[in-house]
Amino acid sequence: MATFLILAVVMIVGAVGVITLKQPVHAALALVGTLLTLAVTYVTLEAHFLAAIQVIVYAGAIMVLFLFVIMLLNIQGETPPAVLAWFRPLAYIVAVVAAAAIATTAFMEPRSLPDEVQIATALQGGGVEPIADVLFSDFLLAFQLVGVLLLTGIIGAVSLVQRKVVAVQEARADGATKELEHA
Amino acid sequence: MTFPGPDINWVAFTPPLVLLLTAALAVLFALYQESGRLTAQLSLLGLVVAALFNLHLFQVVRQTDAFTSFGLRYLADTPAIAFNFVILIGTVLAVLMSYHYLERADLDHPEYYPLILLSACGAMVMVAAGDLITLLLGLEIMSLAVYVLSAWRQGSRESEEAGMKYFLLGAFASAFLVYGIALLYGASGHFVYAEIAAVLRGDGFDQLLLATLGGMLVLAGLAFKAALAPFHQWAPDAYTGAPTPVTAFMSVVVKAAAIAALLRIFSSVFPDLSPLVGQVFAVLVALTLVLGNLAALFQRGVKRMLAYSAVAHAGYLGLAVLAAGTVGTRAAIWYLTAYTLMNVGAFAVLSLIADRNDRGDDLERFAGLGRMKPGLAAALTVFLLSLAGIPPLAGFTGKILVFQAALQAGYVALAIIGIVMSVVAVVYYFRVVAVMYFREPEYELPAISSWATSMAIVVTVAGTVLLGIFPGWWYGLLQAGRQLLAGM
Repeated sequence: MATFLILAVVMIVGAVGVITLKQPVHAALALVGTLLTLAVTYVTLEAHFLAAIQVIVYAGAIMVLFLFVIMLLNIQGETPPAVLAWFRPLAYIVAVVAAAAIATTAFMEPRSLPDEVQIATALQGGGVEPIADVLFSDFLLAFQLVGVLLLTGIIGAVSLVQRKVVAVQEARADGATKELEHA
Repeated sequence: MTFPGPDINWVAFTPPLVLLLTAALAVLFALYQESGRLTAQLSLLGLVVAALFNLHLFQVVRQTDAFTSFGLRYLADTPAIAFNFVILIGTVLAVLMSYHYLERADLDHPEYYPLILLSACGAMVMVAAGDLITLLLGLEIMSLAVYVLSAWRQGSRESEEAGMKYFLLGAFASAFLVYGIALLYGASGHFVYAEIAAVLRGDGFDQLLLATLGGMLVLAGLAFKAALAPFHQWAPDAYTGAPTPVTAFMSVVVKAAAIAALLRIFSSVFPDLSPLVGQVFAVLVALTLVLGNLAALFQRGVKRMLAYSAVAHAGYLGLAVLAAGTVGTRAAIWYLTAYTLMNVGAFAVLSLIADRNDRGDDLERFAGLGRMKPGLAAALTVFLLSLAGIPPLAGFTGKILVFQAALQAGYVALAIIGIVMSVVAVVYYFRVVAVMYFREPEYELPAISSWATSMAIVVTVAGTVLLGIFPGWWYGLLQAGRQLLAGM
């Protein structure tokens, strides 16, 4: 329990850091912190395979992509001009109310934990096999659909990026005439 | 080691599967094709084949029983098949609209059609989804393609803004949905609607608050896709900025899929949650009806007016969702069929009037259209009158069915709001009609002729009129077969 609490605090601090830190690199590093702590939590739950995947895919591959994008775009921590300033307090109020609602739910109906033996048996064998078992039986449809989703993402990304060279020039010409029309 | 495979019922899958295969073929085609014409023709063929399979599925379901596949994770029941038809009609019409439009607007890239097909495939999965994970994945497949399509006109600020806004807010809404699914799973230990409902109903269930919170978050995520107020903020901008055929597709297929998912959840999981969920949804519906119709009153651009009108129509559909489980499902499908025909038709006319960058849809541009292009003006009049709910047309019967369903479910106040707001709606629809017929022409309209778009307009006019005159035929078909919507 103590381990979990420590991990949870670190995770929450990291998550808050992601949305509050001004420098994108700092925010990305805070995200790494959160993702790694999550991986450690998986280890404490005996889900070793999941923990390894978490580190390799999220803390590894995806974070590297994030950092690449930040580096290539050379993003500095600029504060954007305040548009819709009245929106800010409203957003805070909504966020606080939502957080309060979730907290109330969590503490109003605490569920008692099953006894230790039951937990221990449930947590056993967090390797590849149990995951494969459900993935290729109960969640086979979802597994296949994720493939379709990835295909859609690839086609979409390629179709937007691939034509850039030609399309932007044409669009600029268009934009110029549009400007004239407006003037 | 022998592996117990899941029960896969391939017949149930055929319509989305055909679309998926066609999309994959079309992508291969796109490798060797500069123009999108061939891909468009291939896509139309695929859509027709999918419709035939859907028809076959309908016959089978009518005679025997509803199909399920993967346990109760994929349900091909009468409502799902009817929704498939609506999605297929909307997609065919969008492809027809795009056929010449894309060339004219310099947007003719062959990946366009595979993306439309994949989006429709995702919508079909969403419609038939019997569990929350399948629902989420269908929704993401559908949305991802539409995000890209709304940003199709690159270099135009409106289109890029539309895509970006839709994507960011859509991702935000998906986060709500995922969180809601997680909480529902945490409370019940199941993803399949029927199993969740069984746990919620069972003895000794003490996590009602948690499940209700999860239900609320799922509701928020789906309300975003259906563009119900206050989650409609993205809709006017995305609808206005996207290329017109994409707008037509979005306003019809995405909405149909979201409403179908809401119907299914409202008739299975939600009745066993706290009544608060239904009350919150009723408030959303009332807000949508009022905000959508009032905002549409103040729009200068006709495309933007139609965007707000699409928001308002989500409100009418919401009325039917509230009556889910009884007559609401049939009313919603009937209304969506009518809405698909008249809304896509209106956008098709618009795509022949605005210039190649979708600019120039101000009300002034429609002045004197009745004299310059009598055919187009007459078609647009039919669509607008039907959208307003004027008697002999499809929109009228749809509204009657929806209000009837809401009254039967006991939502009298909401039905009254809906009726009052449809009177308000008459004002902004008639304004366009009046401008077309009672004002002198002010602009030279571009000479656009496209047999494909004209065909779409003819089909939609015929559909709007015939469905209005013979409402019983389609309604009778909807009653056939076993209604498995609850997933029990």
